[in-house]
This record gives sequence, C-alpha cells and structure tokens, in this order.
Amino acid sequence: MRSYLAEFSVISPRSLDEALWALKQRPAPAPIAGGTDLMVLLNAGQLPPGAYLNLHSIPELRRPIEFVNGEACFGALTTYADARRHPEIRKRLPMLCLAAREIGALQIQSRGTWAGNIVNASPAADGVPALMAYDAAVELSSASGVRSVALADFYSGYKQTARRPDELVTAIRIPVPEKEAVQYYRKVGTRKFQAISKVLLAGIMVLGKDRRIKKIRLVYASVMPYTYRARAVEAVLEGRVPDGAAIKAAVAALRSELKPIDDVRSTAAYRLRVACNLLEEFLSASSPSRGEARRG
Amino acid sequence: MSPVKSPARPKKPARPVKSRNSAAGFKVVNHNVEKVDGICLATGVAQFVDDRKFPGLLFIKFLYSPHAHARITKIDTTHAEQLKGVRCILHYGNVPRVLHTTAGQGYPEPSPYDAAMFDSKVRYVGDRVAAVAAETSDIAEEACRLIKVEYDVLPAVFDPEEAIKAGAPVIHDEPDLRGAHDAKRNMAAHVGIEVGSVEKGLAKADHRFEDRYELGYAQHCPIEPHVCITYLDDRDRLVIRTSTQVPFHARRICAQVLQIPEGQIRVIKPRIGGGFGAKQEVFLEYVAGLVTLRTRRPAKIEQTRAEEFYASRTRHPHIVNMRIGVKKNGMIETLDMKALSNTGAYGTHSLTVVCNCGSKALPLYNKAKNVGFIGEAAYTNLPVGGAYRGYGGTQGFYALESMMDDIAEKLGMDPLALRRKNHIRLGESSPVFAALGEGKEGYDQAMASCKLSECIDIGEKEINWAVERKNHGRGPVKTGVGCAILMQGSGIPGIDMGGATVKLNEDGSFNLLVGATDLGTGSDTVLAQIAAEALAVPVGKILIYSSDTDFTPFDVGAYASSTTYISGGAVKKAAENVRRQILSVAAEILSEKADNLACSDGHVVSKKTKKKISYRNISLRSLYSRNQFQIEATESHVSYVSPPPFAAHFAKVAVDTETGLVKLLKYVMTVDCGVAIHPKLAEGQAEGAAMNGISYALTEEFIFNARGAMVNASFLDYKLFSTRDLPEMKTILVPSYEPNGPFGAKSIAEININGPAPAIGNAIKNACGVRLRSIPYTPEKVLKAIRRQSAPAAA
Ligand SMILES: Cc1cc2nc3c(=O)[nH]c(=O)nc-3n(C[C@H](O)[C@H](O)[C@H](O)COP(=O)(O)OP(=O)(O)OC[C@H]3O[C@@H](n4cnc5c(N)ncnc54)[C@H](O)[C@@H]3O)c2cc1C
Repeated sequence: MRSYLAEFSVISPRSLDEALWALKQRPAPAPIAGGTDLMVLLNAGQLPPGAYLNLHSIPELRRPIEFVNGEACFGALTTYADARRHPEIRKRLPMLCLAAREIGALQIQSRGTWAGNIVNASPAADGVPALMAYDAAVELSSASGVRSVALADFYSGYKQTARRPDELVTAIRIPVPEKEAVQYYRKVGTRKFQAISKVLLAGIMVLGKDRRIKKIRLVYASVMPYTYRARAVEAVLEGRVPDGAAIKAAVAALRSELKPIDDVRSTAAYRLRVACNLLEEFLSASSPSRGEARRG
Repeated sequence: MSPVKSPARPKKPARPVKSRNSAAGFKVVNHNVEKVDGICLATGVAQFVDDRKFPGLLFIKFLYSPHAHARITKIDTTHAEQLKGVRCILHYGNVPRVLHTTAGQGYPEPSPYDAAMFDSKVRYVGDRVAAVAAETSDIAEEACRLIKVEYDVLPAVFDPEEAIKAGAPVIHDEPDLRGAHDAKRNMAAHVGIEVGSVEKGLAKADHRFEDRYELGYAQHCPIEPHVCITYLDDRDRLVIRTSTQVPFHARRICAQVLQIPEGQIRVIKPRIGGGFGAKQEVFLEYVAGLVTLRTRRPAKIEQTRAEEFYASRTRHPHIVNMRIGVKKNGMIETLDMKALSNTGAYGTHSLTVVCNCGSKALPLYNKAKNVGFIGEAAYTNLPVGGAYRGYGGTQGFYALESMMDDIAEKLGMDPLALRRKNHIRLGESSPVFAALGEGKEGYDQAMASCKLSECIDIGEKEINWAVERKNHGRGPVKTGVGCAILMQGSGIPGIDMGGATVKLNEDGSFNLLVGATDLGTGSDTVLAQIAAEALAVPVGKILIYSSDTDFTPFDVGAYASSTTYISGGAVKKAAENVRRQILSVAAEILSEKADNLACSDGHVVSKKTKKKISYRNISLRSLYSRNQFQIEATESHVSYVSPPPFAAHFAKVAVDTETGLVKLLKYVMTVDCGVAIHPKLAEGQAEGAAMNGISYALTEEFIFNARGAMVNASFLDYKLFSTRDLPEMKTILVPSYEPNGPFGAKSIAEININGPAPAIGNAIKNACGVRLRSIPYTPEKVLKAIRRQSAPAAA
C-alpha cells in the first residue's frame, strides 16, 4: 500500500547554503534527486515518513558536465541521459555510456542521477562500477566543510557508506584514463534490458611497453554485498604480463577473495564461476573494443 | 453449381461453391480487414471494466494467509469494523459455505468441488482469509491489517511427489469435498489409458529411452489484471461487469455460490486486456457480488500485479516421465508418458490439464502401436494452477519433442528425418483420440487437413537447417539450431458449444450477437468476417455485440482454441440461415425460385434475369409491408471432431559457455491453421504465443521461500520477455483447408506456445552438447550443465 502522503514534507532550499543548513536538523532530511529509488519505496509504503530535501531547487547543483584538468566533473543532478548525450564522455569515458544506456529505460535515464545511484548503495547499482573503475572521487559537502572520498573507499558493507547524514554529494570527479587503457564492461542479467544484474564486471587495464600491467582496476557489482573492487586480485596482477599463468593466478586469487551473495537473482556458485570467467575474458582481451563486442 | 430443382425442398441451402479445398475466391475471409474494434481501442474510446465510473463504488481488498497450511481458530474483525469507511467484511464465519470449483468449464465441471468462498482452513500462502469492502482501497487495506486472526499452523507439503506419498499432510480433509480422485492421498485427479501393451512394446524395442522432464510455475501476466465491478440494476438484479473469458460460466458459478438463480444475474464482458487462460477462472466475481447484495452498492475488485502472481491462477507445474521404444530404422513403436501435475492448493483444471498433456502430444506419432498414459494431479500447499494457453500440451510436447532429438542422436539420424518418418498425416488417425479426451474418453477422428510435412520442409529451409546444424562458431559462444513439431485441437469435441444470432436491419446491416468472448484476440473481427462472407456483405455491415448474458446466446467462452472453429461454426450457420430467409423473401418479390437466386454484395441477384434487389428493400418489405417477419436466426454449433492445427518450430540460439546465457537469435514458425480467417491476426496469435513460450523457456519462474511464499511476485524479479528481447522472428502460415471448420478454418490460439521449450532446448543441445530437461534454461542451469559435461569426474 502506498505511503500516507500527509506524513511527508519536502524542503525546497533556494541555495546550497540553505540546503546544507537544513541538513543539520536531526534527523537530517533525506535528499531527493531523481526520486527513482525513493518513489518506488513511497509507492510500496516503505519510505520512512518525515522531511525530504528537494535538490532540484538548488541552482548550484544544476550544472552541466564539465571537463577540468583531465577530469570529468558531474554535478549532484547529472543524469544518465546527460552522460549519454555528452560527446566527450562517449569518447573518453565510454564505460559510463555503456552503463547509462542499460539503466532502466529512457524515463529512468532522464530522471535518475549518478549521485543517487551512488548513495542508494545497491550492490547491483549499474552506475557505480564504471565510476569506480575510473577511480572516481565523491565530493561530500556539509555545513562544516567539503571533503573528497575515493568511490572505492565509499562502501564498507551492505548499504554502509562513508556519507554522514548531514552531507550532500555535490560532485563526482572522474579522471580520464590513459589513451591506451583497455576497458571492459559486461553485465550478465536475466534478459537484455531492465533487468537487475546477476554479475557485472567493469575493468580497466594499462599495459606498459613491456606488456606488463602498469595499472588494473577490477570492479564487480551484484557479487558482494556492495560494489566491490577486487584489490587483492589487482595486486596479484600488477607488474605481471597478462599471460596464461598470470590469468590462472588471478582467477585463483579471485576465488579466495570473493564471498558471493545468494539471492533470488542468482546463486553464490554461479556468481563466483561467472565472475572468474569474466575476469579471464577481460585479461585475455587484446583490444579495447572487445568488451563492448561481447556484451549481453 | 448444380441448383436443386425440387420445389419440395425449398429449405435446402443454396451453396454457391460445392466442394472447396482452398481459400481462393473468398471476399472477406482470408483478408486482412480492419479490426472491428481497432479504432476505438487505438483512440481510447473502447471501455474496459474499470473505465466506467460508478457513484458510491466500494473497493474490496483481501486479507491473505501468511501460512501455507493452517486452520483458522479465531477471527476477530472488531477493530476493522470500527475503522471509518469500512462497509462490509466477509469471512468464513459469515458467508454461505458452497463448495464449488472456480474453473470455468463445461457443466458438470470435470474439476473437483474443493473451494469455498472463504474457508476455516487456509491451504497456501495467498489463500483468502477475509475480504473488506470500504469507501477507498486504502481504507480496505488498512482494515485488512486490523483483522486479528489466530491460526493453528499445520505441516505443509510443497513437492507433488512427496504430497502423494503416505503420511503426507492431507490438504483437503473437508467432509463435503466432491470430485477429487483420492483426497486422502492429496490426489486431485487421476487418469490412465493403455493401447496395446507398453511393457511388451518396450521389451521388444531395439532402443529404449527414458527420461524425466520438469516444467515449473508461470503466470499469464495479462496486461490487464483480473478486475470486476458488480452493481444492482433497476430491478435489483446483480450485474457483473468483469474481465472474463467465460461470461456464461461466470454467471452459472456465481449463481451457484451466491445461491440465487442464474436469471438474477447478468454478466457483461467489455473490452479485455488479455487472459491467456487466467480469466477462465471465476473467483472474484462472487465476492464482489456478495458485497453488492449485502450493501446494495456497486463494488470493485482489481488485483494488483503481486496478487496476480500469488493469489490468482498459474500454469500447473508438471513432472513428465517419458518412455519411448524405437526400432533401429527409427520407427516409433511405443510411447509411454506419466505426468504428475502440481495443482497447488485447489484442483482447478487439474484433471483436464493433465489429460491434455497426453491427449494433445501423443497422437503426433501415431504409428506407435503401444501407447500408455498416466496422468495424476497432486494437491500441494502452493499457488493454484489453472487454465493456461497450451493447457497440458505445453507440458506434454516438452517431454516428447525433447526426447525425439535424443532418439535421433542415438540412431545417428537427422532430427527432422526421424520426425518425418513418424508423424501423423492426412487421412490418418491415432488411437489416442478415442481413448483419451478432456477428462473422459475422446472421439476418434481422421485428419481431414494436415500440412505438417510442408511445415517441416519450409521451416527447414528458412532456418538454413543443414548448414546451421553443423556450424557452431568458434570461441566461447556456440550457436546451434533445434526444432519441435506440434499439434493441438480446435475446441473440445462433444462439449464446447457456441451460439450465434444474426438479424437483418432496414439498411441491410446485420446485428451479430455471440456469446463468444474477444479478449483482445480479435475474435469479434474474425466472427464478423465469417458472417460477412456467408451473407455476401462487407465486414462494415456486420454489427457484432458479444459476451453479455442478457443479450447474446450462450457460448462456453474463449478457451480450448475453440472460438474461430466452434463459435465461428455457429455464426456461419446462423448467417446461412438468414441468407436463406433473405433469398426466400427475394423469391417472393421477384417471383422466382429461391434456388435461382444468389447473394452478392448486399443484393440478391437472379441468375436468370440478372435482376437485382437490395437487402435494404428485402428488409423493408419483411419488416413493414408484406408477410411481415423479422429476418433472424439463432444457431448453435457443437463439433465431434477437433481438427488439430499443426506447426513446426525452429530456433537458432547462441550459448555463451562462459556465462551460461542463452540468446535466441532466430525463431521460425510454420503453421497450418487451415484457412486463416484474418491472416494478420493469426500471425499475431502465433507470435504472441511463441513469445510467451520463449519467455517461459528462458526466464520465467516462481521462486518460493522455505515457507512456501513466492518471493519474486513482481516484474522486477519475474522476467517476461519484452519487445527488446525479441529475436528475429518469422511466421509462415502454410494454408490448408479444413472441411469441418467454418470456411476451412482451424484454430491457432494455443499451439505455438508449446514449441519454444523443446525447440530451444534442442538448439542448446546442438550448440554446446548439453541436454537440459527442465525449464527455464537459466544461465545458472546452463553453466552448471556445461561444467558437468566438461568435467564429469568433478560432478
Ligand atoms: C523502473 C526502474 C528501473 C531502474 N533500473 C535501474 C538499473 O537498470 N540500474 C540501476 O543501477 N538502477 C536502476 N534503477 C534505480 C535508480 O533509478 C537509480 O539508482 C538512480 O540512479 C537513482 O537516482 P535518483 O536521482 O533517482 O535517486 P533518488 O531516488 O532521488 O535517491 C536515491 C538515494 O540517494 C540519496 N541521494 C540522492 N541524491 C543525493 C545527493 N546529491 N547527496 C546525498 N544523497 C543523495 C537519496 O536520499 C536516496 O537515499 C531503476 C529504478 C526504476 C524505478
């Protein structure tokens, strides 16, 4: 049953300062951006009654995607559609477009925000893995100041984030990766679109002239209770040539690092197996476009 | 064209074409005319159940059992009654106990009388405990929460094989139960036949095959959920406006449960947003009806999507054990099928669905001398099975057509060659037709039309069989093709009856009144085409009104692939009768013998003098001036044969051996449905059914927790295929002419839902070598099977 609307109030601040001040109240009002997560709860009668903070009335938050110092900068209200439409994003951060176009359908893409996806902290969030693989940082603002947290350090458990209730995500900064970086993005779900993933891997790999791995990022969604960067496996791989032996070692490391979840969408055994297969596929990829060619 | 000269037999129908064997020459039939309700649907003018506003409408919500099996020891509605806006609460303590079946079937129904409107025992999570009618649906829901119920929780059983073992909890222990086969063993239904000797046949066979196939729960997911509104008319009769496939059965069952005469009830079916069998059930109408009778106010029940899943009706899950004996040369000699259906908490359609598992599939390979079938339906503490497009055929063909490919492989034969060698052909019959019908013995029939061989030939080319069978691609993604061949029926022989009334108006238009039920299927259009063809007028001259128990003749309703064939037969008869009346009035006017006259384009024409007289003038005369009478006829149609449509399905898949994902690349259907009255609508039926079957084969499943509660009762986690998941699909209608059908037509509604599970399964086998014997073919299952195959020692 739908929640009882009279139990809810919405604050529409006219400036960022006003918003940050409002967030000092206890309990802090929950921000509402696209509402595509919150409204589902409202309709199901599961949204906690109380005050909500409308972000759309805040002029400072409504800014276009910018590129500064080799970084893309998303605002709090940047949507998936904004990213899909942006030619530079398409060219330099292609995994964000791959992610964006598989999220919901057009309505959700035009309404849902990257920041909302991050803060909602679903283990199956589709926007987060690509951001994390790109080493994105989250800018958190509160009345007491601004700080930046690496997205890879943002989660610590199921729905556990580094954000304090009085903080607002005011920007997401995404460094543009090296030109030669091999990028891999693959979502495995029940059907092609509008399906929550069973396993997702977003990966980046930079090889040196000697074919040794200079840098690697491996981010899994839907496998662990939160979007998970497999740092132990990255450590195994760094400095090695991604040959058969390295792949074997990496898969073995992944097997011991992952403790997959079991739910209605899949089994732990399946998730582990496919997580390993995707890793193998990524590491044996030679061209940057391979990930896209093999999606779905 | 040999006109009957004898004046002694003026009633003999004038037949413009004596013996037809093709659709050539039809003016309306076999043409893609505009759908009669197309514009009003597209513009939103057409009204569905919930599109009419009723002042003072009450909203009804249900309280459902949280337990899979429990006795209600106490029910306290005090707090709920005190909530402002609550008008009526129903539960087992205040409604009459009338055991009935909710299955809308012929009378007496072959399903057990094991359901009460509300009972003191609940039998699955989702069983109804109480209903509240209130001024708003929110109040009704809130009141449901305020009802205090105490339960004595009983042990539950979820596995049908466990349920029929001695010592299992008895789900139906009520003394007034009627019609269940053996309730003490949770056996709702049982049927068994044997032709020849199965055991001897198997013993003698060169090769024996035996395997077990499983199909799980699925829901029909019509775009419009179950919804009904009830109200009292000026004379205090109960009017039920409902999204039903079976208006007349709904009237009869509501009369039974509410204990009032049928004449006190009028059922109206407006436009409907799909049914697929889910709306062949009558389980909401009488609850709303009782609220209306008690409060004298209009009342509405509209199910949510979640309720559609756990509290309405589903496909009966089946475990099918199949045994086949073959000769070295590939001749099938023995077919033996044992099907165990899980009917859930109530036995709706339990006997007939499991019967059809055998009766639809087994005649396909009619050369078999020994045929055995045992069908059993077990009660369990899970959601209730019901009618679902395919109706047992889906389950039966899955086992049969999967095993056919295993046989072909063992014998080193091409799967198509094996099928060609064994399948039923024109003029042939199968002993199964007479031995096994729906719930009882059936009727023998010889195939009067059958283009199955042609279907196979055409599909083989279209899918590029010879090449694709051998081409699996390199890399981790393997491709392959598979096929399945199918037959179904057209109506239930000797049981299904449809009536139609045709009457002539002044302007030469005709009212066509039919009990038949258009669910979005297009049957209003198809029936209008049949009338138009018989009356030699364009479709625009036929004003069809359907499914209103006060105004239209009886019809069993839309199920069993019967409407075009059975109701269409009635329409054709009624139209031909009216045509004879028109000719005899024209004969009076023209002073000619009726036999010398013909109907053409809204006129009667003299074959001799070429004189013409319009239907308008004929009507004006018969209504106003000479020998006045209303030109009108009501005719009924029953058929003792059920001509099967035939089809061959071909699937091309890509199996990703790293993730287990199966991607359907191409789907080809070749279908013999006789003369397609409306080819576009026929193709739509074929493609809709195939998509439904594809989705069932690949993604749809009910997931239950340990307490028997469905945990994925929403479109978020119950995945239907959407248009974006559609493969390249090709539908080819292979025309034949069925002499028993109206203008050569047979059915097409159900057959094509039965192909995808076996065809895709066979394609997966061809692509990567693994044989799956249960659907859906989820990535988890496929990957597991691939792993087991590549590392048999580790299994
Ligand atoms: C039909 C449908 C399909 C969907 N499909 C997908 C899919 O395929 N993949 C996927 O990942 N998700 C999907 N979603 C979920 C949802 O659309 C995304 O998570 C989206 O990114 C949420 O963004 P939002 O702006 O709408 O968040 P909101 O609902 O407004 O907020 C979500 C959470 O974030 C908090 N929040 C929002 N903005 C801020 C901020 N600036 N600072 C601090 N906290 C903030 C809110 O308080 C709330 O807790 C789907 C949702 C629907 C309804």
